[in-house]
Amino acid sequence: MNTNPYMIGVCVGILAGLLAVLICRLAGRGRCAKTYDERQIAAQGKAAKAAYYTGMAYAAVCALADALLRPTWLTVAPVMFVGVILTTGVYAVFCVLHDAYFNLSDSPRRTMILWLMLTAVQFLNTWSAFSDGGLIEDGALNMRIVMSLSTGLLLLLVAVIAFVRLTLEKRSARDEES
Amino acid sequence: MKNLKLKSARAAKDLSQQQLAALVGVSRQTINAIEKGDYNPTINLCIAICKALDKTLDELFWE
Repeated sequence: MNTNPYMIGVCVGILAGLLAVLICRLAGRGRCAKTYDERQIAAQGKAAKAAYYTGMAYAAVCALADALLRPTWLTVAPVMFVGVILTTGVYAVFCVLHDAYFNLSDSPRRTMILWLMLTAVQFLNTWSAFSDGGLIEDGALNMRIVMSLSTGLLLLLVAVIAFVRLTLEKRSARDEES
Repeated sequence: MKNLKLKSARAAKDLSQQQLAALVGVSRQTINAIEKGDYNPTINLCIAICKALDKTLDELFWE
């Protein structure tokens, strides 16, 4: 039987995701429902707009760079993946900065711990990919390194910004109380 | 422009921003933003705040 490890990974990932959602729904009975207030929803709309324009600007820069420089090592897949990470990052950072990322029942601390754990996994994967081969593989950027490194950097950036924002927010709440 | 009427009404009820936020179902930052004049709430939220503080819309939001 022809077994493709990549496809097996994709299938297992999808199944694990579906299973997690199912367990969450059954165990939580509605606790998983995300509730954001009106200011947070408005901020998320602005974040989506900022992410959209960032994506447009990124696409224009990539097209220009491709037309002028024609780098042989830069293939379509890493460019697209970094674009997705970039726009997602803009959206997440904008939401975090405007207190619109965590919903009213979220536990920011738990989410940040999860982000840091995922960051560690991504950096381990990056290190492993570097050990297996270089940044350039067969004349093109190593997709495994691009994926894990960009995802790890995004998670770390969002986690650090969220931590600083929540620390400032706690101080602000304490000042307001006193 | 700062909404000092809301702040004083909340203080008169001896409520913190967090407590008022929980009463009307929004985040503390939203109440803070309204008091600081950084966010204009919808009429629904204004009514919810008025009910929580036993005030009228005129008393809290009319200049």
